[in-house]
Amino acid sequence: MSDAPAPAAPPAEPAREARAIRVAILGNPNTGKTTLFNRLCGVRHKTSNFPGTTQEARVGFPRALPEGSELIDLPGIYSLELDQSEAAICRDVLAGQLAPRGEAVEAPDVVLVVTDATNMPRNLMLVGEAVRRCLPTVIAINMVDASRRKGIHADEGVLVRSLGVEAVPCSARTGEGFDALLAALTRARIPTESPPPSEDGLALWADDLYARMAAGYDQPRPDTFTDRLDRAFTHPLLGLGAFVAVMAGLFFVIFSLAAYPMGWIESIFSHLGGLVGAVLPPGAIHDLIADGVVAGIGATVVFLPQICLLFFLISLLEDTGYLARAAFVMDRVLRPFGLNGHAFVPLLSSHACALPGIIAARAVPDRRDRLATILTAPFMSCTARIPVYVLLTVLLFRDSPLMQAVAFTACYALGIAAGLLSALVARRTILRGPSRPMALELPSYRLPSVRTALFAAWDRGLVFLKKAGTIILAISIVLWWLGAYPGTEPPPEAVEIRERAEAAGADADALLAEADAIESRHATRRSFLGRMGETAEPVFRPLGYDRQLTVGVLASFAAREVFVATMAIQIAGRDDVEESGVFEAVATATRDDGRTPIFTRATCWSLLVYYVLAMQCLPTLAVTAKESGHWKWALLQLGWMWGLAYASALIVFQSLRASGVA
Amino acid sequence: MQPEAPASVTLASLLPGQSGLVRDTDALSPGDAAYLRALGIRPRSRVRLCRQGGPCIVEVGCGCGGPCCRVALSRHLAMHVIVEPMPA
Repeated sequence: MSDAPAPAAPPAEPAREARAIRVAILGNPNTGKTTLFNRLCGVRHKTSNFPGTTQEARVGFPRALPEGSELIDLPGIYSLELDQSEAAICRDVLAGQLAPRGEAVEAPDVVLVVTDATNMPRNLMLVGEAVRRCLPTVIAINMVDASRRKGIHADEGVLVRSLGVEAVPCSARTGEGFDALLAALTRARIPTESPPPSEDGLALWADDLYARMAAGYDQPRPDTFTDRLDRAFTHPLLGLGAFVAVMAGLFFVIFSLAAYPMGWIESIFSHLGGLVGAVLPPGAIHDLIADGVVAGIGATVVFLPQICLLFFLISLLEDTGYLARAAFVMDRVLRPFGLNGHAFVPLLSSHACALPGIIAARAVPDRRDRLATILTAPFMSCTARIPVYVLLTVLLFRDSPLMQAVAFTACYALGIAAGLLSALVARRTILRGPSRPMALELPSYRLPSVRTALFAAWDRGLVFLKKAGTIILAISIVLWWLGAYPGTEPPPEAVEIRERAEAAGADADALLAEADAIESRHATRRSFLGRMGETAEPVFRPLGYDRQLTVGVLASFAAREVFVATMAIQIAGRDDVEESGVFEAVATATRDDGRTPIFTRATCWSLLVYYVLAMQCLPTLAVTAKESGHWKWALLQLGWMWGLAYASALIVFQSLRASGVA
Repeated sequence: MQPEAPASVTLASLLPGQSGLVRDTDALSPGDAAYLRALGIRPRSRVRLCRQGGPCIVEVGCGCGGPCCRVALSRHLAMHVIVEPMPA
């Protein structure tokens, strides 16, 4: 960081035996703590939470430190003394009163304060607060490469001499200075000086310290690059236009790129199901493994590419500094609805999957704002709804891809509108109170770190697999059982076709397939799920749904994506609607009267509106309960969304019928 | 004759590009004042209004003229930070 000759290091202590150390990483947001943590630990880390909170806790195991050493990544905070949960967590960890779940509750051996070399004056306030804790401390002066480019110079030797601790210039992005940093961590010492106890005293102390660090150097160059970009990205009109363009590009990349790995995953699990069929003898175990377990795991893993890609791109955008500008632009749009700019990333993430979106709501500082964001997130059209949207828009507009796209887009718009209006209602009733005014740092623009983005995608993907995977797998097994039992005798029609197939000899394949389909439909109707559909059908009849559609809605109550396969099984006896002939069978299927199509135009519109608005995702409910702190919020979310969906679908269907639309 | 002290105004009423020295943040709630102080907006710190509006954008530097950071502030907060305009 400085151009002066290296200052004298503190007097060397006698060599100590290398012992495992616990290092707590403290720092302001946007100082590169995450990049530094990732560079030190790589994939050797685990994610849990701090007990009694929803705050994520990452614990890393750096290879370059003595065996058994740990790094605890504390939440980014501007001050240890703020009345915020993140600051309280940092205080408690430094005081030895809190530790990540599964770790021993004791004070860290070393506090590593990560500072931003391009913004030292403000960072020195947190350094002062950390120093007051009288724990062995090391200061990492990160982003020295950026500070050199900006012409920002300061003498870190002043910190070393003033505080009696090591201050190491480094760059987490390039690895510069990391050898020195690791060595400093193993010989950290307790600071010899502490700032005055008052807030004003701390501020004067920090100012004086920086003045001495910067003495003799030229004033830094003004950041005209950030200035010029901000004039565009924060402009009321240009900024909104840029935001729309960036988001459109983001979603285009996600939906186009992720389609490839999603196709590969579907193919792999389809082959896996076939392999199970070939290896296991027919029976309950075979059906459980093939239709329950394999299908259930496949149903979760298939969403992984979109979730990982979304978080990779969000991390890149965040690292460039643009995401803060997007939150600034969106604040004006969201505030009239009782939300604020911080809600933007959770709501954006929810378009891939509400689970990581709801978890991302932890970044919303105010509790009421956070709850409103959590309650709103599932309204954003997630990827699980896409198969339903695709089926229904194609049924509605068979010959017009343009109208299909318009209807598809309208579904997304309806979800966003319903979410915002629901947030407004919540903020005027059960979450009444002023919204926290915006005060958000806009970091300098910089090139993003692909490595950090890859780690972010990996972490979020693992969270999704663990939280959603277990629940979706359990749901798939339950649904399989409900759809497979109780077993029934094959209907006479199928028996007769099998007898004809026996006599047909070599031409039996088509007859056997027909018999399989008839038996499958019969078994589904007679199953527990089928009987539930018959019982519940009167509830859904006003929406235009018959017995079969009711079964589809009930089956997809736990996971939306199951609707299409359930309808395909009931109608065509096969669960892949893209298989030859299955889509036509679904499109032309009739209700129990043998005449009325299942998918009339009015019914299709009713179903579209229902699936846009309804809460049909058990994993989302579970995460809502956890993140909000109480099941009452999850139940409220379920009741509100289901009620809104039912009422809206009812109005749509009845209005269309009244206006003569079949 | 003593020169007149420059009149204090709110941060929100500075002109775009105009700098000021923060005089006090007493009109803010204790929580908001503490948060702004942690962001660097505190008495004696230098601020420059980059963009007006709600929220506005403020460049924040320490009193010693060091490097600055940028903060987006709601109009409500900016209207309760009292600054002494600095000459251009």
